Amino acid sequence: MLDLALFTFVMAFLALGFARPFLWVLAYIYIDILAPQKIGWTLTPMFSISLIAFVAAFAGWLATDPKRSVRVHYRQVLMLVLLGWAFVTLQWSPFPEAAATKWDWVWRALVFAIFLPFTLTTRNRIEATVLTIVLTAGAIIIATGLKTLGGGGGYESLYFFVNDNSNIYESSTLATVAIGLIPLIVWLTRHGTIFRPSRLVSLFAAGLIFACLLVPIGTEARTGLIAIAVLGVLLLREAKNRFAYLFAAVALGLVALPFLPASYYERMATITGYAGDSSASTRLAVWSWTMDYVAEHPLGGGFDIYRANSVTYDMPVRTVDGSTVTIQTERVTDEARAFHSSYFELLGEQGWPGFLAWMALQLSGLVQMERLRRRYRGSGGGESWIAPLAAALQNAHIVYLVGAAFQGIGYQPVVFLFLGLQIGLWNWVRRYESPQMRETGEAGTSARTGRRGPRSRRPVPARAAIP
Amino acid sequence: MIDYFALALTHGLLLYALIRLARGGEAADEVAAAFEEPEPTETRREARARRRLRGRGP
Repeated sequence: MLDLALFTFVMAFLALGFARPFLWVLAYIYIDILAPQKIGWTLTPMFSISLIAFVAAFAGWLATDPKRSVRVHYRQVLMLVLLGWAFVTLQWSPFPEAAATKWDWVWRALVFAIFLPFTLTTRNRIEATVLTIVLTAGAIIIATGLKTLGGGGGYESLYFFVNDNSNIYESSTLATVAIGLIPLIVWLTRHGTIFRPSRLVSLFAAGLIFACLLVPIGTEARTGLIAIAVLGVLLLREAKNRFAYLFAAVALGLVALPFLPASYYERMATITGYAGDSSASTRLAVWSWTMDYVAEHPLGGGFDIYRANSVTYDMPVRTVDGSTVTIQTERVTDEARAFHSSYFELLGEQGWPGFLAWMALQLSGLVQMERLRRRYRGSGGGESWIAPLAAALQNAHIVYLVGAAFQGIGYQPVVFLFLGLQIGLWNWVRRYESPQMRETGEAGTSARTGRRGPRSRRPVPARAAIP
Repeated sequence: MIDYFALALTHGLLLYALIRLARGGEAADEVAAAFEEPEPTETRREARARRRLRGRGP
């Protein structure tokens, strides 16, 4: 029954694309995040729905979209460089089979992220993309939240729709993405035009945000707790009354504490006591190995090069004797331990060239969103949605970058969708500020009052203008 | 059961949004209208020709 329902939904999604080919872009995003072909067992896996949607999205854009305003942004070039370099390092990978498996999904994520900004030509397309990401990931998040509420959580014991650790179906990744989505949910609630702001929309958003906050608890992912803390600090930036915000955050935390399971406390306690945690010892040893490796191989070793590692470290062994707990160290040698950090993942796999391209891609996104946030802060009318969306995308990005320090999610497709959205928003604003749009009277004019917006009252020097 | 509920809820909302976007009908006029990118007033070739002509002027 579920299989048939999912299959029918996917077919309906693809059929609707004939009315608006842009919907095929959304169809690919939906399939990429949820992976319905893995949830179903007969009908949905029968066809390569991911490939069909991928091809349809490109074909639809080629056949029907206007291309006059299409311009390649330098961040798309950075992604292209990363893609090309990953293909080069793939050639000398000592683990060709494993590397080819990773390359198979990485190239698709990168190509789609390069392509996505070309399709985001209107505000509604940008909003529809955000909405599709939120609702699709929301399916996984709501299920996880409800299971956590029902007491079904636990480290590595929570069951998702798909249990192969792929894409966002890995507990730490899901926790990071769930927290990163919160600012985008808030933006949709306040500035949505597909689902206009209403009490019902606010109620659903509140429930979804609550589910997002439950994901790190249910999965007992330590990265999730760090992500919540980071997001809490970032939101302080936007809070009108910072004192009230801080008070509410502390009160909410204190109220939530008694409801958290004991196993959650035990797991979170290992964040600070890293010396007594074997997982932390392994990470430090692998990161040290990566630095040594990249010193000898500055061009990187290709995908899954971590399989070559052999690390020796002192593992803490906990002995309980009555009321006495003793921690002794034991010399352990481990092989093929994963990077557990996107930064070291990129450095080890793609060497300095790939790492620098990846870092430039990430940092330029933060800078661009900050520029948009400042430029349109306080704008009203038809421009009121721009600064909050830039801030939401920036916050989501920062949450990811912090979470990425503790897990190997350097090529996470959902995050590349965020990068595509950032470029799409930047390009949209550039078009919006173009002389052509100004001539038609659409740019810089408040939709509500018909007056020129604050940007036009504050003439921007040519050097500071959006390139 | 929880999985079914989560899938039904989110897919219902997603389907509603998609139909609104696809129809471009009465309820979604502004959504559909926003899908139509405003046509630039002139093509690049026309702009080049205009600049060239201006350069040749008296």
